[in-house]
Amino acid sequence: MSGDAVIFMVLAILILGGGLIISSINLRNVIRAQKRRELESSEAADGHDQS
Amino acid sequence: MAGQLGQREQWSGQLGFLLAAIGSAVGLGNIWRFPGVAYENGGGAFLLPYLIALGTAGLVILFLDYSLGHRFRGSAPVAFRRLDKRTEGIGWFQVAAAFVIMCYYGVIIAWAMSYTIFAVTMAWGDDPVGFFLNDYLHMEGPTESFSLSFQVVPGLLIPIVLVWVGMLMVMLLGVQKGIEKANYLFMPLLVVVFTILVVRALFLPGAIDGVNAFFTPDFAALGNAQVWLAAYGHIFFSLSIGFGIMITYASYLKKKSDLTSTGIVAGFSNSSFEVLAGVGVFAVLGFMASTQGFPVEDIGEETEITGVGLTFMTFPEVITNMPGGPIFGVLFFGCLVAAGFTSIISISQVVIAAISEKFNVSRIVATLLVVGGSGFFAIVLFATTAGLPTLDVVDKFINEFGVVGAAVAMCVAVAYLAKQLTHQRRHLNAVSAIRLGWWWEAMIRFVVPIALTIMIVVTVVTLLDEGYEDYPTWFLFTFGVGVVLVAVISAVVLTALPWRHQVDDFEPDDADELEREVR
Repeated sequence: MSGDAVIFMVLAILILGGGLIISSINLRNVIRAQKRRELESSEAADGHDQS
Repeated sequence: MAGQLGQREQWSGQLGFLLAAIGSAVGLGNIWRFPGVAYENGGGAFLLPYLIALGTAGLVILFLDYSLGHRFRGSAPVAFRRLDKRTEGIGWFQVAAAFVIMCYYGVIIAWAMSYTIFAVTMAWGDDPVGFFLNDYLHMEGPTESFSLSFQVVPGLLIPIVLVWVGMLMVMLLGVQKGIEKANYLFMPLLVVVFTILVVRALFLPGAIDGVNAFFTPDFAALGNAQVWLAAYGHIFFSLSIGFGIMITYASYLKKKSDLTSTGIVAGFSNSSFEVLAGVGVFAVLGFMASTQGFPVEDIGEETEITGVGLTFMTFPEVITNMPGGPIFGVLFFGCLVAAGFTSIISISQVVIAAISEKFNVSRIVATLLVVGGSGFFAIVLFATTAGLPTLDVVDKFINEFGVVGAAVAMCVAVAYLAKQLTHQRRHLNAVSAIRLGWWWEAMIRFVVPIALTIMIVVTVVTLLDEGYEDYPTWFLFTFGVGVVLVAVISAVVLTALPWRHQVDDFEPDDADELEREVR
């Protein structure tokens, strides 16, 4: 393969593959944080009911 | 008296929605359109306009679609009506366009289904082109003396019925048990099998030359306005934006769902799959060049490298000459069926949700009406001896005028008519981790409508100058302009019909309160 073609192939992999990995990790963290908040708020609501 | 709109279905979670959004975006176009478009518009250098188009138009409209569906909790017509009563027609036009697209899109999936079986014995023999056009489609070309015949090709009926029965089964099960489950099944399968195919293709003789041709940049192309228009056009069609799919899908998301982070993953997944498809398709085309003894640089002149021609004429020819061709063929056409199926269920949901909500009928009734109706038109219009040219013209006009026009109207309606663009941005930011700045509004107000309007003007000028694929004018008017006009008239009529429930009794969430709840 020509040098230019290799450079553009690597760029495509880095930008799109990297973008996909980083955005997926971000989304996973967002969903985890949401679930944690929901859990905390439901625990807080349970505690409030018992008291 | 009209009743309230019933309890809305929901995705099980954000992952279900994400998979369905990716399933909708990753369709036939990723495999048969992107590689050829990229190659013809600068090869590796096309990446630059493509990525810029993804960031400045693709994701921008995707976020607008998400925000409309999620904020106004309804199908496209409901969302537009709740945005501003004057804009309901835009939603109905999107529904009409989706109905037209599902009619012919399903027929192409049916062809791919037939070819999955044909690949086992390589039934096309030594003449894949003749086999496809004459033996399979029984095609007669549109000439000046061509008369309209609605003569149905019996061989097409079984695969079409199978596609529509599959669609019916999934759609009857609803959003969570039907659409979501289908995507959980098909999407991982598609990615795994397609990756195996690409790896296999890379080991064929001449494959690296093909990949080299795909990625070799032509920097001069970056100075060509047509290349930039091609990038904006492709990203627009590729992401399933602007015709109600993402509005409808986002309306089933739970209140506290991150929209922008999900959209970015969907966008990158779609683009990554396209580039993977580009590598696979050009590896196969490189093998073809090496076996047939022509320079790989002439691939565009020697053979069809996009669309129906690439898939049903070029690929069968390559499969015939490939070691293990039947296995490769079955998996390749199977991938097309899977990619197409997850897309067509998203298109049909646009119509089913809208009909169900407007006429206050159950999902089952709406599904039977929409799937049955589209199946009828699919057979009458596209399963005939004139099916291929009809499909080609309808596809060209409904996408390049209908869908693009609807997207321009959507931007103008939100930004200038309803003046709700800032509210839409505040809604997106209230629920999302990645916040959008003023630039997003600027894109919707100026860049996107201007870029898309230029696309429409260029298409009109090209059509007037050169016509389209040697089709006679009456044929273009009947199936091109005619279908778009029918969609417009349908939108007007459906807008005029009364709602069977109180659609206007709705108050969108306040962005500040929503943000307090989410954070």
